[in-house]
Amino acid sequence: MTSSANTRRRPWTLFGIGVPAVLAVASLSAAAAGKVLIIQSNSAGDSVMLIDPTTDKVVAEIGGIEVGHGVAAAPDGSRIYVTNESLATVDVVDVPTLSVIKRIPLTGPPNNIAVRKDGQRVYAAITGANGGVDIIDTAKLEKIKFIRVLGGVHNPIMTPDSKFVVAGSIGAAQATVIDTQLERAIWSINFGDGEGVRVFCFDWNPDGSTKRLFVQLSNFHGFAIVDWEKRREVGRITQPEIPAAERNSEGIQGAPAHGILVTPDGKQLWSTSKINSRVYAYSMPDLKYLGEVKVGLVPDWITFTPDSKKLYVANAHDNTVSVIDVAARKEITRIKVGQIPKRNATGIFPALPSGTK
Amino acid sequence: MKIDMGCRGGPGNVETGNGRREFFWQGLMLLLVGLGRHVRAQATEFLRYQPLARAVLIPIGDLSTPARAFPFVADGVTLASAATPNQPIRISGMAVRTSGVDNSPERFQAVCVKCPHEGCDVDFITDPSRLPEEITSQLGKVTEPVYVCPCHNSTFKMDDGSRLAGPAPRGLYRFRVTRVNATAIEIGEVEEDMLLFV
Repeated sequence: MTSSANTRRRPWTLFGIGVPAVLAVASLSAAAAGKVLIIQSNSAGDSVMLIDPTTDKVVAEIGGIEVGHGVAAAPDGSRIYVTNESLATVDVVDVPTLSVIKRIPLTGPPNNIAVRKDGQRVYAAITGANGGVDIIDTAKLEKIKFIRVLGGVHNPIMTPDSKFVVAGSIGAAQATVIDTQLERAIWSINFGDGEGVRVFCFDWNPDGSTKRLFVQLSNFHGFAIVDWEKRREVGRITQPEIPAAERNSEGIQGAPAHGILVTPDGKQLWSTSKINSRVYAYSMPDLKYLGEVKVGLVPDWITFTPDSKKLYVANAHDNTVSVIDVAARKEITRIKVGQIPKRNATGIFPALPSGTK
Repeated sequence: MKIDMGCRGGPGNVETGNGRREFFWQGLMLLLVGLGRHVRAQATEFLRYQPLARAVLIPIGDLSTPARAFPFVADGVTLASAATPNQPIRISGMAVRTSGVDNSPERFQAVCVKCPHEGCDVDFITDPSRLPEEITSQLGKVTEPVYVCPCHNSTFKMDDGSRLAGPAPRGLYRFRVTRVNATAIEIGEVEEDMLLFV
């Protein structure tokens, strides 16, 4: 592994240290100020579903989005952004009416999506050999820049302080760090031959800056640990094995582990296993194995409620979402959703959209 | 066989009737054979090809070893009925000598490297022992090089790019080797769908 492109770090000012911490606290306390909903895409369907985590029921459906891939909510809860693979657009959904108000054309076929914490920018992954990241201005609702990334991008994911968006490439086996103010790539980290970057997440320092990446790689049943300051891999965690007769062989598609996230309170990391139909929990920061929960077939993505109490696991080959009690490490219920549910996200909205059940 | 056209009037004699029947059956046989050949030809090569904007020439020496892929880039133009019509397009491909030592066009195969699933570039895996377990558990022991998409492990045959495993809905789009001479192979055409759906 090598890192590339030396860059001077901007000096941390008191303001620079204080703002990320404030934002981190604000995002947790915002839960008290709005309605939390889980946004669930259905990648072989034509709708995006909204789940109320207080009842664990689907309470609304956004129609007219065929082959939706990534979903993300605007921080102010006014919109939901969805990458539409059938049209190669970002579909902008007005939350009060749950209608698509604009389709923004992209550079190429999209995968996942991310929103900057100030809500002013949306980042859409463009897949394929000529792919990269499309940057969208949310005031103008148009694409303003394309950053080419070697090997195309599968997932763009914001760092906890939103200073960077990391673009993971499967084809190039590389994670590229893009500065969200400069709007250009500033460094990258390469993994081994055939180790495409699938899904990843972060933990953070007390000041809110990024501490580590936890990266799920092609054909590896576990995740790699990357030190952000050192810009290199420092270890790997291999997930538990189960008897061969119990393993699932369908829908793996090169990613035996696909879905990883640290709880909003920073105390645990959870990672899926498509092979084992399980999610695994690890304590933070020491990554000590805590236990497992059996879920549905091909768990493909996860998201937490802002209070870290519940985990939602999209089971792509069951057409369900498993709801997990994080403290008890137990599945509470399984919610029936649409066809091939994949990406999900948590949104906080000022009010329930109209027409919500 | 004597054919008497019945000039002496009245119904033709027996020999004439036999002659017509035989002629009829021979004609029918010929028709059926021809139709059979046509159907067989359609079954084995029903792909439609369109000419490239510029033929690609690959030195024969670069393809002297079987099962070694040679990358190239071809220039095409999207079809008038494509979503973005009549646009220049660059198509990345790989050519490989699939077998044999002679230089007949059938010994060479060229495919587009763009996976028909989600457009990732496929890799040419020369050493099948490097294939991930997910692929070998579906296909069993793989003894020949194959194309593999790194994004979702769709796997394609070296011989003709046809799909072996994975979520890709079809095989790799194909080029056609249009000529081979002493110094180079010429790739002059590409599968029509490549210029339509890209």
